[in-house]
Amino acid sequence: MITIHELTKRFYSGGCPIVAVERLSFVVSAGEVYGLLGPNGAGKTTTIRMIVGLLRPDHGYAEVAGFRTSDAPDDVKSRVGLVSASDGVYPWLSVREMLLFFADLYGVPPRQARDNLRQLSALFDLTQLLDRRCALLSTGQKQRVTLARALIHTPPVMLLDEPTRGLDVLGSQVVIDYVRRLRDEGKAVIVSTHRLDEAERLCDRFGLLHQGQLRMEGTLAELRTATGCQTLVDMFRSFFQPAAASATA
Amino acid sequence: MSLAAGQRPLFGRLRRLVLKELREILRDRRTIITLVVMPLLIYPLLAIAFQRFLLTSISTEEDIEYVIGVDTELAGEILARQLRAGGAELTRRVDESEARDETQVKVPESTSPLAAAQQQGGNQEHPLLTIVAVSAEEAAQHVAGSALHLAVLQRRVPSADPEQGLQTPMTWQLLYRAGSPSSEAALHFVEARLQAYNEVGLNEQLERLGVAAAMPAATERRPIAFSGAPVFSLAALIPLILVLMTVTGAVYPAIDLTAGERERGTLETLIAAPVPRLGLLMAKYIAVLTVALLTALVNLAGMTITAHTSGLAASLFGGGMSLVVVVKVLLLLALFAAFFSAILLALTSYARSFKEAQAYIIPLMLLCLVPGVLCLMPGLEFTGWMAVTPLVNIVMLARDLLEGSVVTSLAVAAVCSTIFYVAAAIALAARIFGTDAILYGSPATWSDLVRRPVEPQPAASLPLAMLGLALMFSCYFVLGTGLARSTELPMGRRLVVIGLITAVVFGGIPLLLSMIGRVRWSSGFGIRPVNAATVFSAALLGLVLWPIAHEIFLLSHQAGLSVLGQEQIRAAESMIVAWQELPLGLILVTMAIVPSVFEELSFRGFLFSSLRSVLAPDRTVVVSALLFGVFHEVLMPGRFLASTFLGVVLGWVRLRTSSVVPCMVIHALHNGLLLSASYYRDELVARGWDVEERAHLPATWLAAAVVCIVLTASLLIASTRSTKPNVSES
Repeated sequence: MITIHELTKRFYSGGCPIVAVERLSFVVSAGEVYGLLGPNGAGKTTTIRMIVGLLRPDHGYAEVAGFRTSDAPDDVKSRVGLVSASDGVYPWLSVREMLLFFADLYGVPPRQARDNLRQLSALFDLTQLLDRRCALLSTGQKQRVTLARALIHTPPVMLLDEPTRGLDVLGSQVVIDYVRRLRDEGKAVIVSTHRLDEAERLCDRFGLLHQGQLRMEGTLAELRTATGCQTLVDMFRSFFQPAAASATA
Repeated sequence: MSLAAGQRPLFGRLRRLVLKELREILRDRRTIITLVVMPLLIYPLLAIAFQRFLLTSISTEEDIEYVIGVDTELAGEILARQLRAGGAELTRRVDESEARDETQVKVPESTSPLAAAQQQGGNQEHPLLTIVAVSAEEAAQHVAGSALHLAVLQRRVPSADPEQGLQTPMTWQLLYRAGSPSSEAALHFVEARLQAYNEVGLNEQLERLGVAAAMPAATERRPIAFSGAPVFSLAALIPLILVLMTVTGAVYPAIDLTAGERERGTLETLIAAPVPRLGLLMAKYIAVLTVALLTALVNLAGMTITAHTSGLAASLFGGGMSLVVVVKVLLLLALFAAFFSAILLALTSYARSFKEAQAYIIPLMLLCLVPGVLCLMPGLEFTGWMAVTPLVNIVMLARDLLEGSVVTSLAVAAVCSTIFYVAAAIALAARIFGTDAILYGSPATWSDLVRRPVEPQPAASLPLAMLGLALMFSCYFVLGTGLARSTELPMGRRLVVIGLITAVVFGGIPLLLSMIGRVRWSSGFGIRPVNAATVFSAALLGLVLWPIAHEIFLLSHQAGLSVLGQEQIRAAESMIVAWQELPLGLILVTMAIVPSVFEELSFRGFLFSSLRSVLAPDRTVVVSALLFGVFHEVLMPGRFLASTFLGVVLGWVRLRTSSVVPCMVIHALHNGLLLSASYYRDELVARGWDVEERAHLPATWLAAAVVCIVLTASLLIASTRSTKPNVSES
């Protein structure tokens, strides 16, 4: 469902190139949750932005459901639901107006949009909030609106960039349940997160990114075998802080 | 899976996008405060301030109250008598002058402040003149503190008897606030009367002595009626007010809908949706324009009500605020709002935050005041270069329109060039809005916008094409009007200069821009070879189009869509006569071949390819044809429909053949045939082939022309059947 091939992106600062993503390749199938993990600046967010077409890669390509971002950006965008930690809401629109607005942006017919809205508001417990202005919602409520917004056009692919950042335990649990539901519905999901404990529970496969490069990829069992570490936290420390890991070993 | 975004009806989606933007803006209390509350507060306050200004400077109202301080009761009585006597003398002089000039045109009172002052002085008993006694020591303090307009202190002690006092020479010292209009007005009021009183007294003394009094340098005023605009008209203030109205209305929504999206965190999700950025920006533009217009309308209503209730309407608009004035102001408002909404959107699209947007806008707002102040300059003429200079053009148009002295060609040029600037600004905003520099704050500067692309581009970007359009229009209009003024240039040289201007403007500008944008010539200009059969069928098509073009020209003239004055018709006739003195080759090269090559390169090449990259094929043909029509209408009034028709045919050929070469052939033969017919007009008439320029062609000719067009178009289709029609242009 998602194919990433040799994806490369450099940024320039003062004329000097900074490699954000370097020849990154991986595949995510339908019904699979792929965890894109790595420290800050590893290139996780840049990768997600290139997949959805918000950034243009310098080299390589991203393909969603057979459509390349560079050739058919609108076809890719219409098949992707994006959730980002920095997602905002329109303060002067009601929840209903905002969700229907995005349904319209994605070309969902009005009747189908209303059906989707009804289902999603029941799923995310938004029914009582539908006519409330978004500015009046709490952080957790806004996060639920954002999750519903990303699903309003029933995309087969979901990209979640730090979806639990800034959320409390209950808010995070909503997201975890949400991702499980997406997998059950057969969607291809990429989750980028710092919360390694959550990632262990959520993801089917993992890609460990460091300085823009994919250092290791596989299921949790495969990674355990390859690294000799039991948890993702230990794997991270052995990869990215070898000195600290050996000192505490 | 939902429908692909592009499959939804365009206008329905645009309408919903606009509604969402308007909901966001109009529900915000800050907008309502700018929209409604501010005009309700500002205009009454402005009116009060303005009235005070008028009262103290140029007003002739009778309810002015001058408070004058004197140092004794007796001095007050003497001063009052002297002022009454002087006032009576002034009244007598005014009456005499009016009797003498009663056959002359009456001048509005407000145009002659001194005459107004004299009339004011005519009141023997000024109802609002108050003389109060104050101590000489405190007089200056009272004047400085505005308790008195003026203090009149005696410098020579008069007789105790007031009657005696009138006969005794007096010296008054007048204390006033320098720079204060009201104090200086009181000073002039008193001085004028005392001077008149002195003159009467001197005359009486001379009469008593038996000396014939004669002024060594007497003067007499004779007012002349002025048919045009007054040297300084208060109507000249209106453009400045329009600038302020529309800018203030557009600023907040422009920032909120662009920089505000990023601050709210909604920009990324918006850009991640499958909607073209141009569509998003169009919706935002319509929303900003709507709010700017609403603000301006509320302002206008507030201004109208205040002007009427305060009596300022007559001073501002001469005969008051008639329906015609209101309609003119509304049309101007739309033009100003359209311009500012686009410029502000382009500017704020680059901002990453409200703060940054405000930093960009403040210098712009200050800059925008310059043309508004410029048009207050007395005697400033609306010229060709002004008609195509952004903002200056609409400010000057507003001034001349409200003063009733607008020149049609300049007005059309001002409106058309403004529309082109608006299109360029929106296209630029669409390019900037949502780029990664704005979305993620990647290091970027304004120079990124003009940086040459690394890879060759199949067509010019829309902002580049719109910039080209605005530049071509402005340059051609300024150079064309400049050439029209140089009447001493011989016709032969004039034709050469026209050809050079055409080549430089329609060839040079697109070429320069395509180099900047690294545009591939073959696709960006449609410079592709075609087979001989296509050239042949294009040549035939070029020869058979003229009857339909001629008929459309006549019909549009008869329908009143084109207004050709007798002077323009005479000028065209004399030009044809002058051409007959020149070799036909020169005329064909400069008026047929050069325009066909360079106009086709720009309209069916540079602009067409760029439009095709964002529009459907049929819309590309229509839009490029309309632009072609507008250019010809401004430069050759009355040609809009006929040129648009030709533009549609040429656009279709360009689409069909993917090349500008057949378009050049059609254009050259069409122009060449008409020019040759004009050149040999006398010979054709002699042979009985008299086609009057303002007569309809026989129906059989028109039917034959339609058949020929269909046949030649079919030939052209057949000749291009082996090649793929232009669908993607890339």
